[in-house]
Amino acid sequence: MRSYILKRLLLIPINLLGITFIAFGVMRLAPGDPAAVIVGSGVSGQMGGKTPTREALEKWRRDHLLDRPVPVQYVHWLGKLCRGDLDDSYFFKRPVLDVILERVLVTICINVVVFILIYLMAIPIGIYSAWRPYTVADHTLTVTLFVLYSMPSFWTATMLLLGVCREPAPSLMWLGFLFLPYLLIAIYAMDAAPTRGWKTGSFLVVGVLLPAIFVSLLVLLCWAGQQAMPDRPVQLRFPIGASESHEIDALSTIVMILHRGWHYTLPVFCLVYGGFAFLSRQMRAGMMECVRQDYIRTARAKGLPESRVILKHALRNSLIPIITLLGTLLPALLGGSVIIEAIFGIRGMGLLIYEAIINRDYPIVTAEVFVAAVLTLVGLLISDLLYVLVNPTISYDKAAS
Amino acid sequence: MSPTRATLRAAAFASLILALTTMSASLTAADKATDSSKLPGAVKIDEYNDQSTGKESPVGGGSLTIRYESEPKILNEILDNSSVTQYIMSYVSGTMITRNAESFLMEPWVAEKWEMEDRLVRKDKTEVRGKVTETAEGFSVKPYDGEAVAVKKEDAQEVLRGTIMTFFLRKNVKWHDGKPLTARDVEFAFKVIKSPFLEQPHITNYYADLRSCEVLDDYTVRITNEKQYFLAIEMAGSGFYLLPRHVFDPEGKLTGDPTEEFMKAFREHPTHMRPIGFGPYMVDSWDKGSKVTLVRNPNFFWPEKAARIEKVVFRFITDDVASLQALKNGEIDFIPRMTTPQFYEQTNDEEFLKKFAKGKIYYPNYGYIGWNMRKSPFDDKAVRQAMNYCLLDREDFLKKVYHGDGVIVTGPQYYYGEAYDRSITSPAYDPKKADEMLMEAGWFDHDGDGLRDKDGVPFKFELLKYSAAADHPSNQMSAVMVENMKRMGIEMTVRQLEWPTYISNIEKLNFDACMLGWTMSIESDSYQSWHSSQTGEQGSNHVGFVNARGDELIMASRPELDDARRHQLAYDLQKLIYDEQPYFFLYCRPDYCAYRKNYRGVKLYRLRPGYDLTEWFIPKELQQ
Repeated sequence: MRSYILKRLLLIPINLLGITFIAFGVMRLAPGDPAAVIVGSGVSGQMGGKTPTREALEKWRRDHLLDRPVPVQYVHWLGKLCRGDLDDSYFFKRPVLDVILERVLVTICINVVVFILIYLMAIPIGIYSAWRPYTVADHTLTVTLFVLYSMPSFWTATMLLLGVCREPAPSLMWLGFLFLPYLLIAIYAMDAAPTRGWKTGSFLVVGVLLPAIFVSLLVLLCWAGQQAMPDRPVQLRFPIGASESHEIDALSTIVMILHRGWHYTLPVFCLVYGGFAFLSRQMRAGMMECVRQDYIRTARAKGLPESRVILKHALRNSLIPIITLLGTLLPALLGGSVIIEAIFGIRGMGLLIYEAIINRDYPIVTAEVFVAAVLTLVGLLISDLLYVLVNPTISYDKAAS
Repeated sequence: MSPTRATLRAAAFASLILALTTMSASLTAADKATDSSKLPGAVKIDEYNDQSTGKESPVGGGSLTIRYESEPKILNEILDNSSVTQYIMSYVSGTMITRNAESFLMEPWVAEKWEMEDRLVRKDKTEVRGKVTETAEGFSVKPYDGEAVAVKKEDAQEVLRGTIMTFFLRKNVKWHDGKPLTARDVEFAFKVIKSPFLEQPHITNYYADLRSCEVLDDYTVRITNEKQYFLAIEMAGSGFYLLPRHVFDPEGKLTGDPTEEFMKAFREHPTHMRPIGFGPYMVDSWDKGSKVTLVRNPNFFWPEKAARIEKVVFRFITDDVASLQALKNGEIDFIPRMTTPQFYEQTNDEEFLKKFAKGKIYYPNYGYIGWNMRKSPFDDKAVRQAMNYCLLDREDFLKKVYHGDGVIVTGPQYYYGEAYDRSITSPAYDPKKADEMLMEAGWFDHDGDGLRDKDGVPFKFELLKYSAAADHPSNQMSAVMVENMKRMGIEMTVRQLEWPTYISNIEKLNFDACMLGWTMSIESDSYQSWHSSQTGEQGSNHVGFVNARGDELIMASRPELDDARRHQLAYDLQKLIYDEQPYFFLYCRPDYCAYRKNYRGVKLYRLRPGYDLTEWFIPKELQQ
């Protein structure tokens, strides 16, 4: 095991070398001239104002080594990297690391919440629909999830903006609209439960408790969010920008956290629903695969309680695809969504890399690719190691096999 | 052509114009008393607000939140030339003198007056300063503060008029931290913009001709320009913002020119996050990623021109849909730039019109189709002239797509400026006439394939265009052109490229025809875009306009200090250019804006940025 990890760790730098070289080259082979964009003049579609001379542009290119061949530039970049320097951004004229650190925090915060929510909801739902496949509840879930999965997030975001960010706030109808298919699922879930006690229990949990938590959370967020404007009545609405009002300094810590939550509710929602729909389908498929296996039948034949069969024997094996996806989570944590960030005005990593590509800000793009590559490789290593944990038949130890 | 919708970086480079004109938007009570409607850029107060009675008297208080698409990188107008930084800083900091947005003339600001003098260079390279008049023996040079000196004709080498500018600063101007503003601060700012270590090539280039800045006493500075140039006073007096020397160089160590280390420290100075200026507003806070809040400067040096609104918030909302929604919600009060559909389709309900005024802001700009004059078929003047009749029915397009907002231009100067000759008008759309002209030039369908040809070469060309959103009018325009050209027996194709790629193609002169626009100042120096020396790669004369008479006119107008004579030269140049048709001239188009009707005293000027928030106020009864 130890030698395996060592081998993988040694492979990482070699992989990185390849990835960064390709990324470095591709960006520089793309048409467009950073000097013209960054130093030169140019509003999209318009020119004017002060323009630098040809000599100034040449000098700028020389200073940034852009007149040298790409491999030479790459070696220079690599040299700087080894000294822990990610270079200066052309556009911001500051160290890339500073720029990234400034933008990364908000993206990480959003993504952590998003991933927790996705996994928290997707796994139970996936298990449930695989446990009771082809029932009405499963079909309703399938349809709902496919609908969610096919709604593009930019559309949803714009609709939410027009629907929920209004003042005066819209009526509670929109909540009811969301609640309808949910109620349907709850009723059918109750139907699928084996005993009368289970039926009532599951309906209370799924049909009453969960929605109650959800609604009260929304209300709480709205209440906290609008504490900064005490002169207006609290309404069930959400803000347009995800950025906090600076009046919140006067609020207590808990209210302040909730206030932030209020600002990030809509972007988080837009990011969650697609991933959640996708992941629960994955979970369902993996689980379906498992419950058909012989060892599940054996477990049931042994007379094990159903919960133990599903949650212990089947679940562990069906987690493998989920863990594979987990490997891609690390880089995704830093990724950020361009569209959601643009619509809700979040200055995070998504917008940063988008702007960097548009501006031909090579250092930022290369740095982001580099960081993403490191995280992907580490994430893959971690997920490979986790396989061992969930499935004892997988082993990287030669002695044991 | 000019985009109505700005992208993230839109207008970033219109900064010069912005910097020069923002502060000038103020008018004193005395100015208002004179008949301002006769001024070339005169506009009406509250023109778009039907709730204004015109009798409200200005009061202080209230707040205003304005939307901007992008956030500053840093709050320093020298280090960040994006329009948002320029605009915020125009309220926080300022220049010595400014250009009035209605008279288009320079007027006092920090400097209460200024003297422009000539420079006589003797053969032995020594110089004499003063007003130069010719006498029988030679020249008499009379400085404003001294006795006239006579210089013999044979001693004099050249007279450079208006190259020495002495500015007399007000003595009551204080920085926001209470320290007085002196001539040393002007000198410091001058040293910074002239420093080779500034790493802002466009600035270094722009100020290349400013030679020296001398401090005469605490409140007098003298700036010398190398060459006689009509824009010298603008460069020296309103070209650069003043910087608080005591903040960047507290111990007064900087005696000579700034060193590389000093400039590095300057670039990274923490003050740029919360700058200290002397303007009508002070920076209160900058919530990164969200907004910059300004508060009224209670100690502003010129009480008549002090701001009225207590708090101005710049909110950064990238998305257009979100910004309009925020306006409707009351989260913002003023959107200076809206899209055409937003202005004409999404804001017509009664409720909106009851609360908000919608206005149009003209600024120096125009759009055009540029012909690459180095290549066939556009190397032929007759072909270009024929295009002027058949490429696009400008009037019709303006009416149908732009709702009539805009003016058709016929020259490179600003339509509402005084250097533009409005007697030159655009001919009506006339494909028949174009057909005749093309026939005469030898372009007709010899082989009967439906395409015009000449010497066996069919008439085909490609229009290079920057890619824009699907509903952007530029797409409709190029589609109409393709259709019109087809009818003329000309095959026109359109290639769309994203902006960086597009601009590098233009710079490499790799195009047949291109769709572009210029953002200018009230009166531009035509040298950059029309002189024959600028036709090379990366030159602004990308169409390759080479004309000896044109060069002559440009070179004659640059040192011409007399406005009337210089304008005449500009008219002649415009006539020449319009005859040569290097561009198919399109429109000067306004920006669309909307603001809450609570605000009064609103004037939408015809110069960037088109409004001056220090004039705006909320009548007492409308303040909560």
